Amino acid sequence: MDKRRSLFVAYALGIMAAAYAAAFFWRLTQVGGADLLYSFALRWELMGALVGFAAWAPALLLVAAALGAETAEGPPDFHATAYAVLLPGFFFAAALSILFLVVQPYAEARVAFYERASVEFGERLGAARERYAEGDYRAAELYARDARAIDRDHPELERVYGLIQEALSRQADAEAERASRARPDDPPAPDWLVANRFYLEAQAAMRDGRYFDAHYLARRSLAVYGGRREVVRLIDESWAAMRSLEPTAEQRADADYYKRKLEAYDYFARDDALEALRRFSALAAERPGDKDAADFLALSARALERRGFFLEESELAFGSGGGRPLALGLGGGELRAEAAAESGSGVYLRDVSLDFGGRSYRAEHARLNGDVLQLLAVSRRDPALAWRARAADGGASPSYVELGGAEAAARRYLELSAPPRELPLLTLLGGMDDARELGIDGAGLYADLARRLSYPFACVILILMGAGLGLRFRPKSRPGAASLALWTPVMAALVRPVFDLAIESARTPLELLSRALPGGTFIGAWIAFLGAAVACSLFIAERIARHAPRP
Amino acid sequence: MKRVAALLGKAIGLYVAASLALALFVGLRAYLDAWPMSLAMATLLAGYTLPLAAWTPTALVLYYAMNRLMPNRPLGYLLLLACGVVLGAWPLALARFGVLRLDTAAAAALWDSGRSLSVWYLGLAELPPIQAALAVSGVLWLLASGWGLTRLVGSRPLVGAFIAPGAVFGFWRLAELYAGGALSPAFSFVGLNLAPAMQAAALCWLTGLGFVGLDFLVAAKPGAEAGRG
Repeated sequence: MDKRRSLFVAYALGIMAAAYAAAFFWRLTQVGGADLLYSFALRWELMGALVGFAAWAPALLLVAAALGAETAEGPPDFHATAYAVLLPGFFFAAALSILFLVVQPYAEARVAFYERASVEFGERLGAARERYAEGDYRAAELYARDARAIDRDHPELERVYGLIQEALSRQADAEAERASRARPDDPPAPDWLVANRFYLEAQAAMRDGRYFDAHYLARRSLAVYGGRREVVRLIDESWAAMRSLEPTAEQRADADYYKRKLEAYDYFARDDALEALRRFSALAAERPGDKDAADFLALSARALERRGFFLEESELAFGSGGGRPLALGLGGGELRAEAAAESGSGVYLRDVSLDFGGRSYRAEHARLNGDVLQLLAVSRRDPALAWRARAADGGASPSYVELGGAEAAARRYLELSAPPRELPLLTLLGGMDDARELGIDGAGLYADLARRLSYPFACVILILMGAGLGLRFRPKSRPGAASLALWTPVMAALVRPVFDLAIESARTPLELLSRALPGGTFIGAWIAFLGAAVACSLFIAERIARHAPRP
Repeated sequence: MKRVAALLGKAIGLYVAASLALALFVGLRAYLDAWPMSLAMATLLAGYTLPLAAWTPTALVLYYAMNRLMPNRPLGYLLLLACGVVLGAWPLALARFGVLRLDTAAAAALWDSGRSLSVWYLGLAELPPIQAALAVSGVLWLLASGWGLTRLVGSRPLVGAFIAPGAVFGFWRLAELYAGGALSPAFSFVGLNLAPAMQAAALCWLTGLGFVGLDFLVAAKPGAEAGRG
């Protein structure tokens, strides 16, 4: 291999390995303050070091190319040197492009995930502890399970989870004991004994004024073991007492409950899902064991979701983030939201304004579900709480509006209005014209696409400039290892402000091209601009190397 | 003499090229940001209101040319200062005589410290001539003092090639700090009651002297080897 080529490759690999090690060490000093889970610490350091390394990689490449040319022996022929370093240079350009395009975004996302997951783990564990202390073991178990999904082996979590499991087990035992007490497993008693027990219970009920129970128990006693006159007498007496009685409070409550159930059902049958939901929700809370109430509560909720949605789902979609603003022009109407967030069940909106069909509406909450904008939000916890749209003209406002293709457009809008760094390259390439159509300011998309396309070109430029500088400023004697070790990081650090200025200056031609050209043409024009920049840098590097010292 | 003339010619050529590039850049920014002035006016303004920004890359390239052509350090610094004062202060002089009207609009296209230092520079036209002259020459002296840094490590000229551009950015930051009065309390502390421009001038001159001293004490001699960086 050409000596110059091998020197460049050796310097580039050596400097980059040292830089990664330094970045890892730097992260190591930061890990204490990052408040991370122990199980994430090493991966956080490795990924964080990768992010740090990526920030320095261009400067390191320039310095490596310069050092390779500086220490090369032989005549200072720029063309021969440039040719020698360009072939491995293309390899580094490809490797660094992959680093910037694929590895760096992944590493950034992982670092953010480790930090966020560590915070969430702490919150879940704290909530599990709190619920456990309050005696709400089921809720505590749910929080602990959430935390276990993040880190199964955390010792403190294992301890808390064990305590919760023990408590749940104790609770289950107590319930089983209560149930077994209700259903004794003793061997079946003889009929006369059973009948006598019913008779005694019937007598007790009669004494307590519970005539229905007395009548029922006495009849059971007679059915099990017939022929006892005192039992027949008790049946007659309790029947007479029952006939002379007003309905009991319990009977009145039952009748009232049944009446309310019928009313609720009536609302359900009349398709007033919200009112039905409110009533069945109250009934189900009153008598959790009533299967009718539970079934119709679920059916009412399902019916409601055709017109509105539950606020809790919106809260879930927004999570801890605030969503992103949305502005859509749809079929002669305009929909705006201060914040929008996606989930599997639709696109949830907050602080919504809608101009449609010549009328304007405002709503605190809304959901785009297919072709429908739902403007009715209901709290699942307390269905009495509902949020409806308000018409600007004070008139009635609908609970939903048909907006063709609204959900798909909103999803695309949110996808393209995400921070451009988070978008895959293919989305960027295909999304430029969509962004324009959706009225998204495409400057950020163009800038990020341009940034990503620039990586290989920038690497080639840096290698050429480095080779030129290295040749021009060759020393009389080959620098020692100490000098290289001391000055290389200084050189890399000093060149970064120049990079920042170059990046800042490149924004102007980028902005000019992005405004003047549509998506597809812009990409071609930008690549042509980058090609011209490579040609210019070749010319400048050759000019720099022209005054190289001769041996 | 021939070398000095060559360097002067190079300085003027580079300065004109840098001014044109800067004017083109500002013109584009004016178009893109829809400035409330015509494109031609923005370009023209940039051509004469940003001499410090045009002189800085000129000086940077001159450092290396002087390393080859100017073995005499005092003369080299004098030449850098003289060129800097002529090319960097001419708009102030013309504005003083009422020939030019200075406007800070073009400075808006520059980056942070570039913008604030350029605005400060244009504000010097309002000050008494002595103050303005000392202040602007102080900044230009500071920029000239970077020459020695290109030869700071005699055995490794490449290190100087990396130090000098970074140092020039540092000089702009320093000058911005000095012009912004960040060290005014130090003057009060030692009992000196100077105008802000004079404070900036004094600090720039002193810092420049420090770097020039570093050159004489540590750096390699310029032009020691023909053709060497």
